[in-house]
Amino acid sequence: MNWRNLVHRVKPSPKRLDADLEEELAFHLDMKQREYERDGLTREDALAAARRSLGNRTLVHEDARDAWRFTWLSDMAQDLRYGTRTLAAQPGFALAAILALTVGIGINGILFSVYNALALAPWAVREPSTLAQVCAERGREGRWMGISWPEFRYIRENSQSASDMAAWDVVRLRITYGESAWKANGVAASENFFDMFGTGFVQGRGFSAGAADIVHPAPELILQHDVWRSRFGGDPAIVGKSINVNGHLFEVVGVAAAGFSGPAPIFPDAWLPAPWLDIFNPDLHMVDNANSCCAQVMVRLKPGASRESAAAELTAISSHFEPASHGEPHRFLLTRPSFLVESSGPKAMKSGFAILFGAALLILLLACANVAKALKTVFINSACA
Amino acid sequence: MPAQTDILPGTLDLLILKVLSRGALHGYGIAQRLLEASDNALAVGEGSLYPALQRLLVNGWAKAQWAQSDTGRRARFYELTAAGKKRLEQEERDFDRMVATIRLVLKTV
Repeated sequence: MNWRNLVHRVKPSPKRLDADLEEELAFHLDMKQREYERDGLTREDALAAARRSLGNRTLVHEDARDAWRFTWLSDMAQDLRYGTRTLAAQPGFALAAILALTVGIGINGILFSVYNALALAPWAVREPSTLAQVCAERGREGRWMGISWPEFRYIRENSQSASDMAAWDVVRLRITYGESAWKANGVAASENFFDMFGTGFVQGRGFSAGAADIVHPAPELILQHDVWRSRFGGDPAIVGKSINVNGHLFEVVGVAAAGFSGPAPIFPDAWLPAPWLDIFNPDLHMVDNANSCCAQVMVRLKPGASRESAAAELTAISSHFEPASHGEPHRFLLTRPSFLVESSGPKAMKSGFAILFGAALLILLLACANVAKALKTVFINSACA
Repeated sequence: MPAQTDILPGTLDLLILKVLSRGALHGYGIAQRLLEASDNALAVGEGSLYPALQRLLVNGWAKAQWAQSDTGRRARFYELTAAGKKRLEQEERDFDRMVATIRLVLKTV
């Protein structure tokens, strides 16, 4: 690089250039106007004449910018060429720098998208602010567990502060349809699950009342939107068709609205009525066993009910639910569906994310520092060479 | 109204360089000086003048500075650089040679 080149680099930004030119032209206009006034024109006529003589200002700007455009372009091309040459001359350094930056930026990007999805982005369900996650705690048994299905049904019947309450559990599915068979994630849910979230369906409907029958639940299946598109080719007439799930014939009754997966962090392929848990796993006795564990529960609060008051009410109701082997009653805590934004929620998760973020930022910082250090070494080497 | 005369292509830069060799001047002043010096024959439009001034800046032949004008208003004054002075000499020589060549052809043919 020679000095002439370096001097050339001191050039205006396009914005600066325009601002300077505009003031320059305004000055020119002013001088022209004075000139015409001296010739005997009135102020207004002089201004109009000056304007006319100055012509199209936009065009002047365009032409002036054109004078620089080539140098802006050629400078960028030169920088690019120089950069490419430098990197190509030191492939080891280039690879290390690219790797360090890729990893640093990648980790931060991934972490932020997870945090954004869990904590920042609003949940696309009906009135997400009145929904609350139910966390239960009992004795030394562990914290923030779900509750048994019988207890869920008992509380749901007796709660005054919840306008609705739904429970679900995860279940492994093996789906057979036509020629293909695959393993899938399922969610076994109470029959009001979709009514509570209120997201609707692109086809069909939610569960019928028969889905709540503990002994003979309706064999109804609701497909997740992406799965319907990929596995069933977006079949517009999928509702009413039969699908084999874990050896039982189910009828597709609906396809959930696009983008709806239910509460994080489960991303199910399909939903089916909760009592099927016991038919798939007869040994577990989940649905009618008060000692079973653990259905996840969410409530929709009535207008005016706070999460704190509802939690107190749920705790009170739970203390009256005492089948023989039930043991200590549960204490409840209600949090926002995305617990990360809730300061009274499990703090460990929140600070966990803070630590992860801090670590990821440190990694990026280290990556930058490494590249800077390597650059310095390269620069000193080439300067001394 | 001055009679508009077309400037020989490529000579506007030369004329501006020449005007500036007498000292720093703003755009309007350059246009006025050209008009006076040509006995009102050369009215350089702003549409050519300001892009030409930008060309001088791009090539490093002139530098520009904001300063107070006679009317008290801020104006942008252009001044020749050392490279600009060299360029002027060269362009003057080239121009003389070209004119001489054209004359020669006009006389001879």
